[in-house]
Amino acid sequence: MSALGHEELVAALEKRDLVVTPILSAKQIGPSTIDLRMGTVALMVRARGIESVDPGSYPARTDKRIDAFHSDELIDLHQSTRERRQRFDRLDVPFHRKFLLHPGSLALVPTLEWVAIPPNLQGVVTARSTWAREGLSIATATIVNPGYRGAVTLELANLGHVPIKLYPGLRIAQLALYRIGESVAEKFRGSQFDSDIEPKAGVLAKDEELQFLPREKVAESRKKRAR
Amino acid sequence: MSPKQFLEDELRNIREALDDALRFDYGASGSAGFYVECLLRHQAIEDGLKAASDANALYNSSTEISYLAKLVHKIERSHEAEFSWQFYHHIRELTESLFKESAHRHDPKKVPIIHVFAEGGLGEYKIHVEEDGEHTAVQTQILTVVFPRTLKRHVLLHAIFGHEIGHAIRLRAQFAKQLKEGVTDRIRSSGALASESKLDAWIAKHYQRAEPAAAQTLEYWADEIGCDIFGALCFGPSFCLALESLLNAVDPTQLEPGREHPPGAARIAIMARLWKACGWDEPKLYAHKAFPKAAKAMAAGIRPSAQHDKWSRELVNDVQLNDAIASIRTMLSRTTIGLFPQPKSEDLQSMVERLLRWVPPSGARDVLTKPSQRNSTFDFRSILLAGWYAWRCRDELDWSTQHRPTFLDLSQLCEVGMLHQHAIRIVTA
Repeated sequence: MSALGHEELVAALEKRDLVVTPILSAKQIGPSTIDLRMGTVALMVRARGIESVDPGSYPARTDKRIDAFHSDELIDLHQSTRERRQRFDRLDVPFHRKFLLHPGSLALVPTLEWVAIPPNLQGVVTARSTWAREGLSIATATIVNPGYRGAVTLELANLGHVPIKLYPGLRIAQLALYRIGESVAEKFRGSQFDSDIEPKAGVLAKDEELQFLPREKVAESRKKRAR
Repeated sequence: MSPKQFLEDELRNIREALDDALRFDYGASGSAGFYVECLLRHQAIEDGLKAASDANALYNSSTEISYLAKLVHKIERSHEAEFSWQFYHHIRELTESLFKESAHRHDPKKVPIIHVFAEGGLGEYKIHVEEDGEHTAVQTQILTVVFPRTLKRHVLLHAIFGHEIGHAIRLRAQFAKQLKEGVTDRIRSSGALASESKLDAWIAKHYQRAEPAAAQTLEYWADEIGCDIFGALCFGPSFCLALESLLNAVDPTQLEPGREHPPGAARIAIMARLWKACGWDEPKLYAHKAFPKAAKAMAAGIRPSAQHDKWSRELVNDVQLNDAIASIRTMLSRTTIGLFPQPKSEDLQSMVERLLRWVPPSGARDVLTKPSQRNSTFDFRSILLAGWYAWRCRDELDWSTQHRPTFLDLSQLCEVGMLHQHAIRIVTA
């Protein structure tokens, strides 16, 4: 795997194989990375909404019809939907408005840029070192898959001891791109986060991981997912 | 408890509720303007109530108190994340430019406070304007913009706000006379809307029923048609397409006449004629060598049935329509951003090309490596037009993927495009 340098990044953007838009300044494209800016939405974990982060408790939403009016089933549906919706507070942060990230807190923030990664490249998102030195950690999930399109979700955490003021439009992250040996995008299309416009919660434990959860948890989780 | 004591208590309750409402964030530009205005009104009402010595004065105070309580509750309904803020940003700019006169009693240059919240229901696009003299405690006028909650991300449909702006600006002195004389009176000068008896005859002819029209119906129908024309000239072809989609959804028969609204079919047919009168049926506006069929499909616009076209001509003939168009055009061209700016065909093409690749439409260049490469600033209405183009001509366009975007996908791409355009404007300002 080799990283794309400045000229290759520019060429890929000009050929439109790679999309990172809008580029607001020539300086946004560095020697081997493209800077990404903070977007205008933030999802904050809502501590009072849930008792813990439990992989078995967050089923993916299905639109399957409820065949019978079993009150237990309906109450379960209410409970799981409520839990899912109450996991995050969503905040709009318009341009020129500050977003305060307190020490120890986590926020999901989209990039301002819309990104489309071609099938033969893989993106890696990291913090810009100037921000990292202030304690801002970005992109704990660093890989952007081949074929991905949408805004990139940045997982922001303040590892320092003082709150950090952030403003939409600031260049806080950077994207490096690496060639991979084969074009894999189509085979893996349909990821839960494909075409994201803004951050959302994911499914923590996939079906094939359920066997690693306690048995009673598996039964409960399967019941919820079957709906 | 005496009525006065009760009202004094209620004023204290409102103050408490007003402060409590600051628990929410509301409004893209922050809560201060609306909060301070409510506080000033509260103070003015308090002074009025103190001085009230008879039942009439108490009645006036009671009305003002009740209205203020409703305003405060609007704050709670307006907390963030309920609408497309990018679209709101533009609607705010547009309405501020049209309403900047006489919004403030002591400072005529002050713009009104624009407040926004959502209502349930398909047809809940509204702009409510406080009329001059409606409430005595008004310091700065408040415009309330209402979005349908479920359509918050459907920015392509939001072009319908052009119609609502048309209603709202009738309350501005500098537009009211022109709109009455150049549009409403003109529409009512002949045809089925010339008199109650003529409208009665028109309804009897088409509906085989005798349903005497109220005098107000004539006025309402002429107003509605005038506001449709206003909306189309303000938002361009996107307005006509949004109107057609919404009217079809609200009344799939398109035929039912309302007391306040003419039948949808006639309104849509009037828009089809306006489309031609404005020259929007010219394929070269939408032409692109890569998708020649699409340009024709887009230029074809709205196609009403021959019968509905005839209906529309009985309500408003071509001369009346052209006069109304000319009058509104003159009026809007004197405002800063009122008249729909027809995008250059190459700009429109570049945005449609981006949508075909699932990229948000904006004036952003792919790279900015040479000094000649600059991002362009496109009006948000051009972005809406590109979105509608991609939707209406989806069968004629060559999409980059097998999975074609849905109407909501295109709306959301356009919303992101507006966000990008906003960022470009900030950088290039």
